[in-house]
Amino acid sequence: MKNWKKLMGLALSAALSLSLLTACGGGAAESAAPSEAPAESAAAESAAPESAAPTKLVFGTSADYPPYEFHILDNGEDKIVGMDVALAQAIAEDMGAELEIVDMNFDNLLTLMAQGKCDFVIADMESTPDREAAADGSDPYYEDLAPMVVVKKANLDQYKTIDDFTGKNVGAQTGTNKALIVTGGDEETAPIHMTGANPILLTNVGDLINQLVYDKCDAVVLDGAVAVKYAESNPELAVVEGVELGKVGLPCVWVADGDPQGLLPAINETIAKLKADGSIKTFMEEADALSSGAMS
Amino acid sequence: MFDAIAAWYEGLSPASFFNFHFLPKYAVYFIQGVEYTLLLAVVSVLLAVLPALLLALMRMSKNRPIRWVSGAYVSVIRSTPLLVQLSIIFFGVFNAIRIPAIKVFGFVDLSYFIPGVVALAMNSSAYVAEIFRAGILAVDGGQMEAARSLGLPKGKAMQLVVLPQAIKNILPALANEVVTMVKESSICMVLGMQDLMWGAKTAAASSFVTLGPYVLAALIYFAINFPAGKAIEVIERRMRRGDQR
Amino acid sequence: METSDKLIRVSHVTKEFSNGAVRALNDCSLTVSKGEVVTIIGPSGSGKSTLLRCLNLLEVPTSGTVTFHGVDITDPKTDIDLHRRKMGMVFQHFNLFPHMTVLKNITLAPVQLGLCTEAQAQEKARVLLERVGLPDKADEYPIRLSGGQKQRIAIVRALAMEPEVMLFDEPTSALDPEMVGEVLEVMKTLAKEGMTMVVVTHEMGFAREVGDRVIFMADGTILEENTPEEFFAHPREQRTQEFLSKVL
Repeated sequence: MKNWKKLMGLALSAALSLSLLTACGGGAAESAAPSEAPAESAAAESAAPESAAPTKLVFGTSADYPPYEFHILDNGEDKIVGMDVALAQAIAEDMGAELEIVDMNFDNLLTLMAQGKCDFVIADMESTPDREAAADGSDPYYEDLAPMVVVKKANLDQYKTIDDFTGKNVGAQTGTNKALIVTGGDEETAPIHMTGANPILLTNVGDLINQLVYDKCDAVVLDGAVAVKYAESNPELAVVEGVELGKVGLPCVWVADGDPQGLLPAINETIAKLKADGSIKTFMEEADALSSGAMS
Repeated sequence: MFDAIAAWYEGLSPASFFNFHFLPKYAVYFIQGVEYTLLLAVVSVLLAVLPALLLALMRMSKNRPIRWVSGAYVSVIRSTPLLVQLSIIFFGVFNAIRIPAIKVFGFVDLSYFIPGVVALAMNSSAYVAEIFRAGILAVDGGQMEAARSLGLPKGKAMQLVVLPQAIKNILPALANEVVTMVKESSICMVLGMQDLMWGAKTAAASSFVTLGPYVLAALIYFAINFPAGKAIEVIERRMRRGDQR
Repeated sequence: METSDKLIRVSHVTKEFSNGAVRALNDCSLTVSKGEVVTIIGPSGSGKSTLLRCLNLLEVPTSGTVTFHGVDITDPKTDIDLHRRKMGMVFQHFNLFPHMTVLKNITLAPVQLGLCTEAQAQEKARVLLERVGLPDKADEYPIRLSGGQKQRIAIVRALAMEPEVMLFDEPTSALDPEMVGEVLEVMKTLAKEGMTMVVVTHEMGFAREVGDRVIFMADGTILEENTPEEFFAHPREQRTQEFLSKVL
């Protein structure tokens, strides 16, 4: 299911990059009239990789995933914050570029980047073979908690081992490694996976939680940090203890396939620096605090 | 009594239908969301009017290829899901045509809004074309004959005699199309357009209150569309009363 | 054969509907001279309205030709709009434009076609309204008029184009009996003034008194053609005799 989706996404991006090429072929005229303007900003830069460091970087994310990226209201003003956003800001700052955010469904992020509508993607997105085929990943910038299963507190004692999910409806976010844990079939990305679970795959984490609370599904697999957040905020829910779902999550920064703009070395440099001086940890703590304050 | 209700409300689960704890903090997402939704609906239907009229007239043309082109367009649009059309327009057409990310009214990003509005208008034009066609066909055929027998060419007869009468049949249906678009445009949220449904999703994600925002969105959609629908009915009835040759 | 006083010449016109499933007119030929009043009578479904509508091409003949002033108007290359200006038509159901005032109904075509200015058209319209006894209705909407008034306005609307021939398609059939007279009166006046008229009608009295010639149709064919005196006194065909015995 996931592969099919990816394939479609790739096919779409392939078709569209063609039209992008023709659009760029018109030359880099001033974009006075939008209707005939060739690709602006990001794409124009990507067409000229030799040019000096970019002055503007467009960063794609899917801001419905606290504490990584989410919307808050700061004195009534809508802002996208989170630890991925802090990282993006640091990357832009190190390159001396201005940062612009594109907020989009998680599924569409890599398509968007393939079209040149953003320069890099940070969305708690881990490396998988499919993603590596569509884009290039940086070094991991964070060691997330391993994925966890959230269930209703009342049913907590039914789940002791991974086999207990056989025959159950288990939810996960479409196109993520959590989905692979539920569906199985990709030993490389998800060596530890459920067998015989009935996958419920949705785009939106909040919708998954609703399905759980209203007994449409029995369990939801989430990134560890996210699972803990939802269990904290909703007294009906709990994290299943003692079920090992594999290695820690290692999210990366993603750039377009082949890194046409040559951003990766600088990004990796920034990541190494932030990891060494503990800034990444600080980012996470700040994001956590912002998210916890979401209701107050 | 009041205290008991307050305590019940305070203790609601984050996934309860009645949990509106995300208010008033996230109200601004809903206010801007409503504005965005209405803007999408009204602008897309207005944009659809001219192409729809053209499609309707093409559909009634004597020339078979012209009739076929219009019929094919209407059939394709009516037989494919809006979400698919939206994705093709957004990632396809507006990949070749780049709209700069300019914000109007402080929260409407044109690089999202314009592709959304164009996709909705293309979709709507197929339906509005049928509204026009039905409205024109509902005008007595003798009107066209009378105008033509006075020597008026077909275009003038249509413009001066038939269309002004068809408008009466068309306007209420057109207003209904706006109401439909208010609902249908919610699909644009999937591509990041910040309409009412997007506001609900974002409030749900950030506040961990996962159902209440959607209930509120539903209430707002209803509060817009139900009175609008009723008003259209009243106007329609009044117009029909004066409908005599 | 072409003589100058033959205004309209219909030659072997056939009209089929529904891809030939229905034959409404079968090889009809007739001529109308300048100043002549021709009435067409016959049972319903005999094709008389279809024949009349072929004269200004509201129906396009399947075969055969219609010439007006010697010009073949059935030729697709002919600009029919130009010829229609000279052929006024009055319908059974009036077909006034309900969204316009009486005055606007009358002035619309002359002004839109650039034949005169709005002021000139209005002046002429008021003169014509006076002639049909409705000078006070200029600013009314059609919905406020009786059937007889509507039909008189419809006649004025056609006259405003200064036509050379007037075609009437059962102009009194949709009227209440007490209103038939006022419309026939206007038509009689027109005839007296020398207007060329082709009238499809059920009013035998009108055909007899006003008509110069009567055409009897049945089953899409012109069966009989004669002066009113001869036609009503000595009908030749059996179908004509049957029809007249029913309506007289």
